[in-house]
Amino acid sequence: MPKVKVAGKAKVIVIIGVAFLAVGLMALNRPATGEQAGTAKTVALSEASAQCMQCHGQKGFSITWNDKTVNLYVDEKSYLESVHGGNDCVTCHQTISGFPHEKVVYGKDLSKEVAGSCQMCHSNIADKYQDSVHGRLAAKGKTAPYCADCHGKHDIRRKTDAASNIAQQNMSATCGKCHSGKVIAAYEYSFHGTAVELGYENAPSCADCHTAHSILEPENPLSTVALENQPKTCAKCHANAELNFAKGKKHAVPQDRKNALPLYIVWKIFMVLIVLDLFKDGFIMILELVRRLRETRAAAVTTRKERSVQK
Amino acid sequence: MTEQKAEGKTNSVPMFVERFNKHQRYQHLLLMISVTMLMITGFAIKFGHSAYATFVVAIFGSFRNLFNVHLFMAVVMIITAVYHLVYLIFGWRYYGVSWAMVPTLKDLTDALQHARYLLGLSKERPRYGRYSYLEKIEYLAVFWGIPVIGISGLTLWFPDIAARFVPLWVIDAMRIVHSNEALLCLFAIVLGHVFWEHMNPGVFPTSSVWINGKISLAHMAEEHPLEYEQLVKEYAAKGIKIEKPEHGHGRFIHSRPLMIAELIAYILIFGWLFWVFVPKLFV
Repeated sequence: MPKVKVAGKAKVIVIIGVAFLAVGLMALNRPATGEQAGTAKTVALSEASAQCMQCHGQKGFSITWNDKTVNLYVDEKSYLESVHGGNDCVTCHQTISGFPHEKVVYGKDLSKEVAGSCQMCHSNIADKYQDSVHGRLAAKGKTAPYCADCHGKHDIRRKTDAASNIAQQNMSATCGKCHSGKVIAAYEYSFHGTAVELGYENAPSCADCHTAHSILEPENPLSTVALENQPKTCAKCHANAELNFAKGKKHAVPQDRKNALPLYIVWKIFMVLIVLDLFKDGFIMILELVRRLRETRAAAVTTRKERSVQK
Repeated sequence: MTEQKAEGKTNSVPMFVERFNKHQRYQHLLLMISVTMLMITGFAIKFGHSAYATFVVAIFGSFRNLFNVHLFMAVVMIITAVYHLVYLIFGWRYYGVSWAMVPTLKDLTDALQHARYLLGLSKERPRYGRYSYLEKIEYLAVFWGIPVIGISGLTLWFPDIAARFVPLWVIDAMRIVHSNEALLCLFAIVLGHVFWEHMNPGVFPTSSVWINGKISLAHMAEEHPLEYEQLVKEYAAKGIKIEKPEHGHGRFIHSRPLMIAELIAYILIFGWLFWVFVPKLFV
């Protein structure tokens, strides 16, 4: 009897082991992004909004304004799937009432007008935005993003939704619409940017360091990226980040001689080493093959001669 | 095995002698596996925005898996390096001290003679001992490369610890060191090492030294003539005469199609690499 018991125990251990292995493998191959994204909500348009869609639901519906074609079409399906799918059109487009519309504005003016509607619900965010570098530029009438420029218009999705403009993987492209060039190139080159691109959900994108709505210029002592605050910001992930985390150019690529000379020098040294190594290998390998080819031909010629002499 | 048996029975001259002992073969195998995996995973990170990266991440299932494999293999490589050092220090008691790997003045003259031979200025190949000057360069490249890539890699693995001692720009510089040393290593292996141990018509498709540790006398006589002569002397002292090996080695040693195909492939590869890397010197 005890023997049987031991065998049973072994069996149980094996089964538990296999189960752990299976669960572990399943956990390893779990898709990187959350799957709750894009859950279909059964939202239908209200009667008033359905009226709007009689025209705005027509594909290709547009108008010419300032010699530019303005698209007036709204994709109903994508709107209903968005976080605002349960709202009426006029919740955001407050100045629109009746037909023909009066006081219609387009482009940046429309963005600004709708941003006013956003803060009816999102007032706490609006306060942060107004103090941020974006909000202050907007208040001065300079080029600056309003809510819709980052979040999208009729297709606003949650940050956790992979299709969202502000999803971890899409954020650099969204910020890059204005902050193009060196900054984005350097972020994409960095390990952070590479890991995000390849689907590592814990790696930081723009807002993780710069914040989403309270973005301040680095000269501002309240900014998360001000020199004195950088170690604290890094410490969000790097537990023991010390003052040294502030001592280095952020957003630098090695080719940037002016801003990151030490990186440039290290990069140059390795380029020289690589080219020297290629010259060494290329010279030796190619000539070695050429030499051996000639030697085998010479050997073949002599044996042929010997044979003909023998004949 | 069969050769050893034959040797034991008839006390005749072996056709093969051991070039790499068991420990050296284990070290080579561990290094081969770790470096290959490190490169597959590492270059997916260095070239993270390429189709190659997407492909490799898909194979591993996620970036997290890929990165964990990279870290695991890094540990394997460090263990291999420690294994080698322990082998060097303690192995001397069992295998005897060997200074064969240490560069000497002869390596310099060998290199010059090799260059003259390659350029057609001389018909004589340099006569190498146990290790040619190229093999010494390769070994020293690994000997310096593992600390470089290991220390820079550990700095990147534990940036918070590194930052206790160095500013952030040093850690950033370490990333350039790490990924470009890896590129250097890739070229040294895929071009140089693979050429000498696989593509070289004398050993094509592969040298057997890394598999069973053995080298044929014919191969030794051709590529390590001084070591071969030493061996002949040693056997002569024991009263055994070694005839010049007649059997030859390498099925492809005179294969012209192989040489021509390789020549075309290497000219294209090196042409492309120069096209890519030489302009980087002038940025």
